[in-house]
Amino acid sequence: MNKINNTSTDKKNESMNGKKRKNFFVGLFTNWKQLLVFILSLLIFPVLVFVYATILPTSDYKPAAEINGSKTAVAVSLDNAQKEDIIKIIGLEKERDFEQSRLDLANQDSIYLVVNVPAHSISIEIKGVQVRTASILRVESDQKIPLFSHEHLSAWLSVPFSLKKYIGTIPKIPIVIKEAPKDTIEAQKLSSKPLPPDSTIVLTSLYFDRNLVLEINQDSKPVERELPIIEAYNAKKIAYLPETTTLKKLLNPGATDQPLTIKLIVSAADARAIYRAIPSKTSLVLKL
Amino acid sequence: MRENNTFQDQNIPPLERSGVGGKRLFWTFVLGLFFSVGIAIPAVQNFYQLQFIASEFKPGSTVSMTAGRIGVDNIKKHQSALAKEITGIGNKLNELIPKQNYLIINTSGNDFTLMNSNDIIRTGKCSTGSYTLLKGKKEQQWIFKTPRGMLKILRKMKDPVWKKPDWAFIEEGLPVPSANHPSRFDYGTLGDYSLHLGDGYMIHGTLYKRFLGMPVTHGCIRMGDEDLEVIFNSLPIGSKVYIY
Repeated sequence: MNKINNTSTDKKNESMNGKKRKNFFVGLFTNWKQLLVFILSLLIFPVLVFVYATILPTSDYKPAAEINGSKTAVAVSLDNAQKEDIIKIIGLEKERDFEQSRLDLANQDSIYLVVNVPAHSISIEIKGVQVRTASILRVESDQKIPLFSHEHLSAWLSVPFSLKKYIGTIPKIPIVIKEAPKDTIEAQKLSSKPLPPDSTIVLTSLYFDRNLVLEINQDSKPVERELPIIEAYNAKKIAYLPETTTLKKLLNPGATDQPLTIKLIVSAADARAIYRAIPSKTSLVLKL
Repeated sequence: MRENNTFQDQNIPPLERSGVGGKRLFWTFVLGLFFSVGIAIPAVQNFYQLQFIASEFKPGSTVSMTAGRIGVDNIKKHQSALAKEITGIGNKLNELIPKQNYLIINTSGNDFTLMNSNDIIRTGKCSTGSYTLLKGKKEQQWIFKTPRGMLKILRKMKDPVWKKPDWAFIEEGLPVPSANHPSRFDYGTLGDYSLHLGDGYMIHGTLYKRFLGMPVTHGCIRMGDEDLEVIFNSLPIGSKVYIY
């Protein structure tokens, strides 16, 4: 009797399962509970991404280390003519800050770097005189930069940046150590021929204060013998920037202490000359 | 009859009674999540673009924030004040460009540019410091590098004589003579002219013209004969030399 009952129950279940499978997708559109669950689950990730990655970071996105904390601005409504005037003012203020920083550094006794991204130019200046100007062939700037308002950006840019550390695929100072010969015979044996020019690919990272990283790289692909040098350079870069880990970005997408990287591609000669010319304690004037 | 119905109802889970099983809702949820990830992936890939779009629409956008700082009534006044300020700074920067000829030396490329205001007069090859660190006895050491920054021409000489410093003897494996020993005075090696920059650094000629364009000197700037003559005649005492 039990056996008979079990068999009939199994059959019942099979038929029920078949019915369920058959009705599953139909239920999405006919059963309001199933439809509600489906819509809610469908919206979970897009809403999460929108709030977490869009609303939160843009609610108060500003570059790190705002210099002038007192700079507060209240948004006002404007007509089109006023908007155009304000856009002109923003351009003028950028120009004023840039030129003022150049003037400030010109009064110091140092070699400094001037980068004008809109004009695609990078130059080395000494006391206000441009001693070398190079064309920036390509700019790859941090995607966060367009998010900053002019108010925050101008506070960040209006004072020159100070170089803190640097790394590159070539030595900054190519020192060759030579032991003094004991006598004239040994001196004659020592080669007086200059070393052949260093043609290693130039990739450099300059780490400034206020979380600015300026990469100045040459515009050419590496040859095979340069790959280990580039690997070592990249390993150093990672070690220098622990805060750029994806995890940290995910944990705090609106954080203001994340480095902002601007990559400038210039010719090989310019990249080499700029990297070698700038002192280890130099300053940078940047216009974006 | 009533008892039978009660018995049947008790065997059916509560949700089944309303037409949607718990399992069915669970799988609906899983299906929804699956599509949800699919929709969210492009959004994650365009993380920063989304933020940029959002920033454009946020209430305190850049233009109105700047207007708020300046004040709507002060827009024109502020604009003209800025223009004047920029002109003033520009004038001050222009004043920093030397009025007389000046020289720019590139120690990385070993070349020079003779300038007048913003115009190039002449360019050419030169030789600058080799960055050799010479280690002598008694822990003495010298680094042969060209000083960088802005220097001035302090003195000019025709047919200069080189008074060899100690390292010149040590480098050749020779004993160092007394301060004014005749062997210290070398004639002809500096070329026809020399322009003194201070601390023993000079712009002068060379016997090793094949090395022009290479970093081979002990810190001085070597030039070819013709270039040296032009520079000697173009740069009066006090002219600025920018070395980078």
